[in-house]
Amino acid sequence: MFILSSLNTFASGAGIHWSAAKALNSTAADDFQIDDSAPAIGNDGAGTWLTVWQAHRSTVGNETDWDILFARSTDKAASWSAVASLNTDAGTDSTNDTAPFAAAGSSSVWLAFWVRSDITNSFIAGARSVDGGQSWNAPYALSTPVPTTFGYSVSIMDQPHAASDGRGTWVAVWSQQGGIFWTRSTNNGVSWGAPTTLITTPRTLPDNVQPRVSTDGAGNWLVVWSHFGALNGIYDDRIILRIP
Amino acid sequence: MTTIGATRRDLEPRLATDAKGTWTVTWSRGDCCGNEETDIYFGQSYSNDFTFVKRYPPHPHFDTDTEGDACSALATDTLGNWLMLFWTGDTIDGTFGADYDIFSLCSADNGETWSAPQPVNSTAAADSPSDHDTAADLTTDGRGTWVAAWRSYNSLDNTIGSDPDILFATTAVTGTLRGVVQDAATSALVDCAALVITDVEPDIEAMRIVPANKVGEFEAPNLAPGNYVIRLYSATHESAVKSVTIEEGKTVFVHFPVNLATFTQGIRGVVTDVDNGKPLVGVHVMASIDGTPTDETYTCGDGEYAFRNLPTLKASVSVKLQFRLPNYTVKDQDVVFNPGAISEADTQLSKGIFPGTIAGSAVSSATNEGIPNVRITLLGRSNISTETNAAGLYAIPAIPEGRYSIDASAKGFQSSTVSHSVPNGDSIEVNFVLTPVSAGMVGDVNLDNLLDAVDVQLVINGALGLAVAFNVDTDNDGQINAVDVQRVINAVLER
Repeated sequence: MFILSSLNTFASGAGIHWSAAKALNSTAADDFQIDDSAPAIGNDGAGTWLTVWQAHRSTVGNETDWDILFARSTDKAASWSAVASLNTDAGTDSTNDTAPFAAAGSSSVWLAFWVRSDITNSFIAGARSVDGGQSWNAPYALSTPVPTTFGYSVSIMDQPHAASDGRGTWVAVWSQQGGIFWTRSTNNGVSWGAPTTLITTPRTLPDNVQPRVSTDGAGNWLVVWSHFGALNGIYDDRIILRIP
Repeated sequence: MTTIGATRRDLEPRLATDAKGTWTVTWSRGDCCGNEETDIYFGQSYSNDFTFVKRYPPHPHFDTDTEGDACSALATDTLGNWLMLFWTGDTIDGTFGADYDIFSLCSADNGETWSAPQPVNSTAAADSPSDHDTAADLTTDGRGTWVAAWRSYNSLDNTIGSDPDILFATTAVTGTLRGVVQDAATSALVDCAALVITDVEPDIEAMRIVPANKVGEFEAPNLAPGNYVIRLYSATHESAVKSVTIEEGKTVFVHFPVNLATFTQGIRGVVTDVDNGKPLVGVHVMASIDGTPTDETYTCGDGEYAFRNLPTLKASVSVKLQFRLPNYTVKDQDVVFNPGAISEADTQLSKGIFPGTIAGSAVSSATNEGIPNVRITLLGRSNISTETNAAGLYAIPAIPEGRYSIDASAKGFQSSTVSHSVPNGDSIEVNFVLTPVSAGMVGDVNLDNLLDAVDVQLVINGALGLAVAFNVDTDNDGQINAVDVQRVINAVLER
């Protein structure tokens, strides 16, 4: 017997319906053999959606390297802005900018992080926007550069991720030379503390990669990552931040 | 520091909290004992105790699937609703292609139960084997809208290029179609009926085929708002057509009173899966006489179909039946149709096998130049092999779907073996960087009992143009661990 009622499809356990797939990057129809990849999408809870990604040899940036591109939406992703470069030196740099992540803080501030590398050094780069992701300041180094040829058994520098409590405090994490590093900002990303290791990887220990951080906005910050070695697994570490 | 997953190869953790004490972690877990298929796992912690008491797949699908699943994204609206994304080459019981597609699982009870996988990329059922959709991310505004973005090779019907672009989809408010099929004369419920639901604006919703259950009921949830045509096919009753309008958040009920069919002549049969003998539902069956399509129908829940309205002819003719079902090989079958009689034509369909290709290059780590005459061998499959050409390039065509260990060997270089899956009908690129054998290299290092301490730098030039340098330990035989090599490959592909 049927019971006819208004159906909340999300609550029914039957899943949800997704709209037809559409191109997000406005260059999709015109670019040719440009690799747009590794998208990360964020929302500020105030109507702005921001997607960042890496693009290889894009005409939006320098056509010889990888750059970070972005697009914004303010209408619940019904439409997206034209593609633009997030790293402001995209037209002149020759470094590879990859693995981006972006998230919103408070007061229209967005922060973006990515891996910047060349044949000499690799480091985590960051950029800050104070206008809801419409424009970005020049890239800065969040981490200490390490030689690209550094000889540890995992990627040298990878997978930056960050979270904000919405009141000006941020924690950023990344993997570096087999260890997990983190740093903190208490002024909405204007400045950062010295990077600290959550776990390091002496040559006799396994690798630690793919970190993620989240916060409940009440002082609890949790970092999880993947741990290679004799005891493979997902590890977590809780960071308690007590902000004066 | 605590461990959430351990002793297995656990990768790609994703983390979210509802800021009310619940924290959820999802990840990809590789099975043990040589089975390299990865599945999605999740764990939850309550009341901020960070114990993560649950550590198992969110849905039974992961207990029986056969292809690897890659954890991709997790988000919550902090209202008890959670959504996770993963990408996989699994066909989800034959419903979707073997290319990589994005799927979502949702929970509306704070992670207690999760829905079955649903496709995020609307192209999942009909895209080609090379239209891979991967690397999805997800977020929500916490007010009912969820947006996913991912990397895709799909050209969206040639409206964009086939190079990788960023696609997106949003959750949409939908409606539901429900109904019942009854015998018009007796009100008995008709249990063998297939409902073909087609939207009037075909860009909104792909065609769905929904079977009636054993008591004649059918349901099609999550239909995008719009106008639809429903065609009913039954092996026992007359066909019928109705039009409905689906509105946001509402359920439309459709009653199909249908007449028992008079069946004095025609063709009927049952379609089953050749591997397991199970009836196949929704198989499109086209009947052609003298090359002209004459009638069509669909199989119902018991796999049955019937043609009752073939033209009355004076003599026996050969009718060509063509059976089509996504992910199965199209099958043609000739049946003799005798006017005034009923011909039986049961058939079995087999999962489609569309050969793929492994191609790539072998270059020297010392010179970055191609190496000619490198022997590329697919181990364990009758050792199919080829050699690189003068430029160091190779291709092995006609590869059946499956996972392969691929070995590259050349005189003067260390050999290299990697594992890769070839999706059905797809082409994959596998590039080797071979290290010249010289003093100080692995082949010459023989520090008894100390081999495990020897590090060898492995540089992979990925298909994306990225170079990733890793150091991997040699094992006790002085060989590079194949798992480490695979990890490097995965790191490149992940970028």
